[in-house]
Amino acid sequence: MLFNSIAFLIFFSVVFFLFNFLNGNGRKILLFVASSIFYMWFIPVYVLILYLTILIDYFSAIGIENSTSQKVKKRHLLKGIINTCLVLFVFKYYNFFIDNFNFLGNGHLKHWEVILPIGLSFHVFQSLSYVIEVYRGNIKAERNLLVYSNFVMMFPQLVAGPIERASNLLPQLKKCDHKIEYSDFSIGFSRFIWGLFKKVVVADTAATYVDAVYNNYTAHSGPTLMLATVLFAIQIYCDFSGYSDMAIGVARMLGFRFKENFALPYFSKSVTEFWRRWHISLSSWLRDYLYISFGGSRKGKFRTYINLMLTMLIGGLWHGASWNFVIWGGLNGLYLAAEKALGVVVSNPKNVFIKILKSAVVFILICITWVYFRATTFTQANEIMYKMGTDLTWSNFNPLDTNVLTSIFVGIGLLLGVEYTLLRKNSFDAIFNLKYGHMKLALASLALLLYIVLFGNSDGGQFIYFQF
Amino acid sequence: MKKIFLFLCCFVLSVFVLDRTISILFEKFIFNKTYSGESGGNLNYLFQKKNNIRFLIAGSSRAKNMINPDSLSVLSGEGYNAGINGVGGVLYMNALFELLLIKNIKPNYIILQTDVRDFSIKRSNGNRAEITRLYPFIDDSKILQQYSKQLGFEETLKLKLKLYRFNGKFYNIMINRFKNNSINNSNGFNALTGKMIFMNEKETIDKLDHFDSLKINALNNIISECEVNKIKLFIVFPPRYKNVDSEEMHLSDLLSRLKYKNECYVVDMININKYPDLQDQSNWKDEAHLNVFGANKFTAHLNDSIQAKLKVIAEFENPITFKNIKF
Repeated sequence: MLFNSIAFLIFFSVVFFLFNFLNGNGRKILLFVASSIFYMWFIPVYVLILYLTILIDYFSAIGIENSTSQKVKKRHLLKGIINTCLVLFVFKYYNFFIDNFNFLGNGHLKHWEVILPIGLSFHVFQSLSYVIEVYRGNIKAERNLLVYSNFVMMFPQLVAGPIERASNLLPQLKKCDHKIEYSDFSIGFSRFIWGLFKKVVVADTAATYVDAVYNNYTAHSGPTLMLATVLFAIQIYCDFSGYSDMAIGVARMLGFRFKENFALPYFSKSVTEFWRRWHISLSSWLRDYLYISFGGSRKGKFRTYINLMLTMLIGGLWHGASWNFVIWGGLNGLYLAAEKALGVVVSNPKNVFIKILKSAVVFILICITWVYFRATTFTQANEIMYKMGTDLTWSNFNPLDTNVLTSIFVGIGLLLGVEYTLLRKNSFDAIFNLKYGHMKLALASLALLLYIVLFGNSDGGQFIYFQF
Repeated sequence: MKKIFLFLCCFVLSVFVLDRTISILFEKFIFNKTYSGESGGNLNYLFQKKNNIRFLIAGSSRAKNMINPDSLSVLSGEGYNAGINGVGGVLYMNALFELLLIKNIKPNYIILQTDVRDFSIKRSNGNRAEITRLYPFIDDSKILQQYSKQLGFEETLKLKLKLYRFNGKFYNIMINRFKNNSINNSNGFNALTGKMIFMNEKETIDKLDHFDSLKINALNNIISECEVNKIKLFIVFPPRYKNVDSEEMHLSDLLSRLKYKNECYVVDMININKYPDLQDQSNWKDEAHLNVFGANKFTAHLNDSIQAKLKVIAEFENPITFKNIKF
């Protein structure tokens, strides 16, 4: 079920009103049922895979907590990690493995024709973080299977994050008897509409241009490909951060608070800063459970660079079973390692010109990585990179449908205006607490909704991150 | 909860009030006075300023860019090219034809450009675009309302908001509104300039039995409405730069699915080998579209074809029963 669909509107209205009238266990059961229905909307039988990963990590965590010996604890941890990763491998990486195996050994192993369960990587990472945290002794194992299931599969964050930490979400789910406040509803509602705007008006409209160019890249010149790449950078930001906004908004309307997942990443002055602002729940996951586990920066400079590279390569592979994603991760790892080697620190220069220059350089560097992310094959990505570097005839620039471009640029202008001038300094909570704050939020939501009706791409596709 | 409920009621009410108000104002002061460009402007021009035309050209960009009404001398009278880029398939045309009749616009001839491949089920993902392009006129068209229902419950619900009819068209309409002064008795033809750009056009036609029934029905409806209203319908299949074998191969299969009527004639110009003067690359903008030079030559061929056809009709007095006549 997509957030930007009428089906979700009806679904959520029912869940919201039932949630309001129920309490405690009733709410927990409702959340479980609702989340199952939400997930089953895509491919019903795949909910069994979800249940399987839940059971694996639920019992692993209890096993860890019940053991007194460190060795047994470790065994339970490994059992949880290996089994959960096995599910991920079978559904996501098996065909990739087969392709490479066949390529290297001239084998003829056949593909397994299976559709990737939606959002598998997200809930696998969420489950793993829980087991690792229990192993590290940072949290207690959850004994109530219903509560734990809701932690993994709570519908707002089930298919595309944010990857919530148990320390934040489990206590909220355990209680589940809070009163739904008007402030929560108002803030959550506005946040949802803002996310919807980012997705439907900016991301989906930009996608029409990006798809038209990338799907026929041989017919386009360097400048056209450059514009398409820049628009893809904006598309993926709005698609994913829009989803996060909607997820955070939906949860907030129900009285739950999720962690922030984006913080104006394209205004970063270094790639290191970018990764602290982009997909925060994943980058912090990679930092806490991979980079630090590899030794972080404690084992010397050279090892630090290797650790950064390794972390980002795995991060790339997490996104998709393709060498393009590995290269995307590798490029980001390279940037991070280079910044570390050059001593680039996360700072906020006072000079506006330097600020803009640094942000522009980071944006260009990130755009280069997006080429590998967006292209369907490695060859295609390289050809696009080559064209962007050599075919710079501006007279061959192709705006395609200028109506679409106008729509995209006005949408981006609005996005920048609101995010940079307003949301950079004020959270939705802060706006609500202003004088007539709730009215301001309501009016802004009303205006945005009408804007969405007029300018949103009503034929938009799924969220990009659903495939991961 | 009471406060939330009140908030939701006020919000929904405000959405509907603003939606109605803005859409009425936009329609009255902007849209209805827009006479240029796509998103409805060219149709307003047709409905309001060209309601006495003798013939109408309809179809996709291949009609819009390749058929010059001024060069169809055989039809002796004023014509208008209502072709539309990307979406001018038979679904669009079926609804447009209904709108023409409602507005009492009855040309003597309709030249409907189409391609066999457009009827393939593989192309049905483009149906939505054909239907939504005419949304500003949905209140007048029962066919359009039916089509929109086929797009699902969600679409029907969205259409409850009047502004949704202008979804994705706002800027286009505004730009076209300001371009109105530049219109000087347009005939709707838009010739392409420039050299050939190869797009590596691929064959997309599906198996013989996989035609989109919605489109077949739409074309049948156009044929039968033309029959009722005594409008001569010429269904034109223009050539492409390279012959696409299956286009020709599947044409007879497509025609066999149509309900033949007396006022309907097929002009099969698919095979480019029959038009040596069009074979040169300098006549094309891409593999599907002729440029201005090619368009003039093509329109001349089309004129000859229609002339030959009309001559046959005149000779036999009674219109020939629908069949695939090759010129």
